[in-house]
Amino acid sequence: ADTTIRVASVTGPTHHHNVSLRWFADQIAAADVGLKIEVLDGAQLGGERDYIEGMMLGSIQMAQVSTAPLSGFIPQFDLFSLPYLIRDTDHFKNVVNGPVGEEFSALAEERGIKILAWFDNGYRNVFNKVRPINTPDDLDGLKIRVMESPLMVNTVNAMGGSATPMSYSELYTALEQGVLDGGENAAGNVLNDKFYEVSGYYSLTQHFRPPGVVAISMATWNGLDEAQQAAITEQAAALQEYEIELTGQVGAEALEELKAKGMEINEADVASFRDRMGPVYEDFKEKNGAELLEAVQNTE
Amino acid sequence: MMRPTGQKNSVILTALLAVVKASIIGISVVMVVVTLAQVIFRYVLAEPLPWSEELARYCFVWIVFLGGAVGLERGFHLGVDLLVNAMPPGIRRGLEALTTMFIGVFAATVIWASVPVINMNMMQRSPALGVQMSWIYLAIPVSMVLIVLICLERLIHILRTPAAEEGV
Amino acid sequence: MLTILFLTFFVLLLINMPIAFALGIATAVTLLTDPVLPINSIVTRAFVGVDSFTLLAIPFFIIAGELMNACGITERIVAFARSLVGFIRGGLAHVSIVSSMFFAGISGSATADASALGSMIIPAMKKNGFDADYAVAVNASSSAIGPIIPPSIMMVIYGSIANVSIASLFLAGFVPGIAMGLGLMGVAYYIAKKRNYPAPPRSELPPILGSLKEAALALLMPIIILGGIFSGVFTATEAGVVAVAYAAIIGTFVYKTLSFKLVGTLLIDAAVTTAAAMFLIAMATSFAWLLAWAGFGAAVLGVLGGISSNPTVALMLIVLFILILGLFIEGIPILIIFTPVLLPVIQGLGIDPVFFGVIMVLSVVIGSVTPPVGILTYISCAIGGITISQAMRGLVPFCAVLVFVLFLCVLFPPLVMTVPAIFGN
Ligand code: NA
Ligand code: NA
Repeated sequence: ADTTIRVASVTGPTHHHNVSLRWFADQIAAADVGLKIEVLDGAQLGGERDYIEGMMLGSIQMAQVSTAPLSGFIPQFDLFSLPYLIRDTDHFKNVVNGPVGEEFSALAEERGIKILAWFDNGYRNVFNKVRPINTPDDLDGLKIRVMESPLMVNTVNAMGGSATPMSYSELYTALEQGVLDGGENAAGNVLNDKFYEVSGYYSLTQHFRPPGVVAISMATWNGLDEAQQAAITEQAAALQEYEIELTGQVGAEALEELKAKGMEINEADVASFRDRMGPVYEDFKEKNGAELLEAVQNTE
Repeated sequence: MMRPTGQKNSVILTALLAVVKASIIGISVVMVVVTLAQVIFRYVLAEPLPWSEELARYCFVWIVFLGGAVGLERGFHLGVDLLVNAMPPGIRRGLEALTTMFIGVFAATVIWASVPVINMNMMQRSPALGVQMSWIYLAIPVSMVLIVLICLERLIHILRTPAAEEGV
Repeated sequence: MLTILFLTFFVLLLINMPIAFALGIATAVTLLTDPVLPINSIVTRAFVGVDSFTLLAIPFFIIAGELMNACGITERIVAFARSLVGFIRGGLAHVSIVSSMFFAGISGSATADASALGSMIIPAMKKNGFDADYAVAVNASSSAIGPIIPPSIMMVIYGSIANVSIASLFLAGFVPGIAMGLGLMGVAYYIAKKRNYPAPPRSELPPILGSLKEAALALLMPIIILGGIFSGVFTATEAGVVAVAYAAIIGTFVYKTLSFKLVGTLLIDAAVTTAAAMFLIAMATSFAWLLAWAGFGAAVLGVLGGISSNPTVALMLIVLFILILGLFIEGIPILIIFTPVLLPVIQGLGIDPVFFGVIMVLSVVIGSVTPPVGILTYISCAIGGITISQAMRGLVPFCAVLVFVLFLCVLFPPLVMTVPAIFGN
C-alpha cells in the first residue's frame, strides 16, 4: 500500500494555501512513487505552534506554518517579522531561494524540521473601524490587535497606533463590541474571516510580509525512500512557484471583493511609516545581530 | 471513584496536597489580578499590557493540572457506575482496584511521554513573556506524579480493607 | 485505529472509569499501538486543549458564583422568587424554577445551580408535603436552565471550539432559557393539581418590594456582566473576572461575609471544579485529535450528507443522536468530540453556527438531566435522599417538556436568533 503523509494547515479548505497543497498532492500522486499526500486543513490537527512542536517530536508529519510561531523554537525566524523587510515579489523569491533561505533551512534541520517550500502571504495592512489611515498621525489612539510578539507590538506602536496583543479567535468579537478599533492582516484573511463586517477601512500600509513554510518532520522524511524524497523535492519546488503566483492573484481579487463588500480601501503614505522604523531595527540588531538582516537587505 | 470514608492519606501525601492547595490559591489570585489589570490598563489607562493574557493563560494551565489531581483525591471525576452497582461487593472492589491501577499506569505513561516534550520546550520561549515553555508544560508531569501517588495509596487501602467493611 | 480507540473507551466506561481517564487511556492505548504516531502526542494535545484565553472564562464564572453563594445571595434570590411566584399552585416548585432562572444569570454552570439551590429547596419541599421524586425532578430539570441563560460555561466551550462569538451565543440563549422555565412551570402546575399539592396564600409570603431590595445587588450582577460585554468594555473572559471583582467587593464591603480563610477555601473549590471540567477537556481534545487524524469527520459528513440535504431534517437527526448519546455520556466530552466533527456538516447545510451552538448546548444539557447518566439528577437525588429509579416517575414529564422546547427551537430558529439580531450580532 501507499505511504500516507498528512499535511496539516490551519486555514479553511478554500484558502489558497490549501488549494496549493492539494495541487501538490495531485502532483505527488501522479509521480507514482507509492506516496499519498492528504491535506488536513481547518486546524483539525491543532494550531501552528502545535504543528511545529509536533514535527519536532514526530507526531505531525508535515505542515504549513508561518514564520512567527517558528521563531518561538528557532529565534532567527524573528527576522521575518521585521516591518518593511521584503521589498517586492522578486526580492521575496531571491531571499528564500538564495543563501538566506539555505541558512534558515539548515537551522530548521538542526531542530528536526525540513523546509520543503516557502509560501508568500502577501502584504499585511492595517484595517480599522474609525478612519482611513494615510500617515502615522491617523493611527494615533487606535487600538490595533497584533500577535503576541514584542516585535509586532513595537512595530505597530512605532507606526503611531496602540498595539494590543489578543488571540486571533477573539478579534472579530472584540471589533464588533468595540473593545478594539482594528487589526492588521493580508487582504485574503480580512475577506475570509469577514472582518469587513466589523471594520470599514483597509489601508495599504504594507508593513509586514512574513513568509510561511511547508515543512516535513525529519522523522517522516528519513522514513521515505530515495525516489519518494526526490519526487517531493522536485514537486515542492513547483509548489513554491505555484503558491507565490496564486498569492498575487488571490491578493488582488481579495482587494476587489473587499471593495465590493463596502470596505473603503486607500493607498497609505508607506514612506512615512517606513521612516519611523529606525528604533525597531536598532532594537532587533541589538538582540539578534545584523548579519542575517543585512544579508536580506543586500539581496537584489 | 469515590474515596471511601475512613481512608486516611499518608503523612507525605497529606503534606504534598497541602502544598498543592496553597499553590492553587496563590496562582488563582495571580490569574484574577492579572486579568483584571488587563481590563483596567486597556480600558481605563489606554495602555494595553502585552503580556497579561499570556500570563493569565499559563496560570490557568497550572491550576487545571494541579486541580485535576486534587479532584481525583476528592472523587470529583465522574464515571458511569450503572453496571458496577449491580455487581456483588467482591467484584465491585476488584473493579475499583483495576480502574485505580489503570489510572496510575496511565499517569506514569504520561510522565514518561512528557520527558521529550519538556526537553524540547527548553529551547522554546513564550512569545510575550519570553519564559521557557517547559515551565508551563511541567504542570502535566507534576499533576501525573500526584495522581500516581494518590492511586498507590488508594490501591493499598483497597487491598487492605476486607470487602465487607467497605460500605460504598 | 478507531476500533481500538472506541472499544477501549467503552469498556473502560462500563467498569466505572472516570470519563476523563477513559478518554485519556483510550487515546494512550491507541497511540501506543499506532506505528506512526508517538505517545508524546497526548501530552502536547492535553496542553493545547487547556491553553486558551477563552476557556479562562470558566474558572472566573465559577469563582464568581462561589463568592456570590458565600455572600448568602442564594437565600435572597429564593426569597425574592417566593414573593413573586410562591402563591401559584405547586408553590415551592415554581420558586425553585424561577430561582434557577435568576441563578442562571449569575452562574455559568448547571451543577453549581443544582447543588446550591437544591440543598435549600428540596428539603423545604419535602417538609411541606411534596413527594421526593417531584422535588428532585423540579430541581434537576430547572438547573438545566443554568447553561442556557447567560453566562454559560458550555457556550464558552462551544464558542472556543467553533470559533464563534461568545457574546452572540450568550444573547441567543435568553429566549430558549426563559421558554424552558415557563414550560417547566406549566408542567409543575399541572402535576401539582393532579397530586393535589398546596400553595400558601399570598399574604403569608414576603412582600415583593422588600425582597427585591434584599436581592438587588445579586440581580445587578448579570446586568453588569452582560452590559459590559455588549457595550464593548470587555470580552466574555474579562467579564468573568469583573464578576469576580464585583462579588468580592460586595461580599467584603456590603454583606461583610468574606474572610481570607473563606476566600482560600472558595478558590480551592473553584479550582477543583474547574479542573474536573478542564481535565475532561484536555483528555477529550487528545481523543478528538485522533478522530480527526483518522478521518472520522469526513466519514460522518458522508453519512449525514447521504441521509438528507434538508437542514431541518439533518438538524433533527443530529439532535436525536446527541440526545441518545446524552443518556449515557456527560455533556462536555460530547461537545468537544462532536462539535469539530459536526461543524462542517452544519456549515455545508447553511445553518448558522451560533444557532447550532444553542441547539447543541440545549441537547447536551438535557442529557445531563436524563437517566441513567445525568449529573443534575445525581446531585438532586443525593440531596433528596432517593435513588435514580425512584426519581424516574417524577422526571419523565419534566424531561419531556425540555425536549419539547428543544424541538421548538429547532423548528423555529427565530426563537433563538432574534435577540442576537437585535443587538446587531
Ligand atoms: Na448561566
Ligand atoms: Na443523561
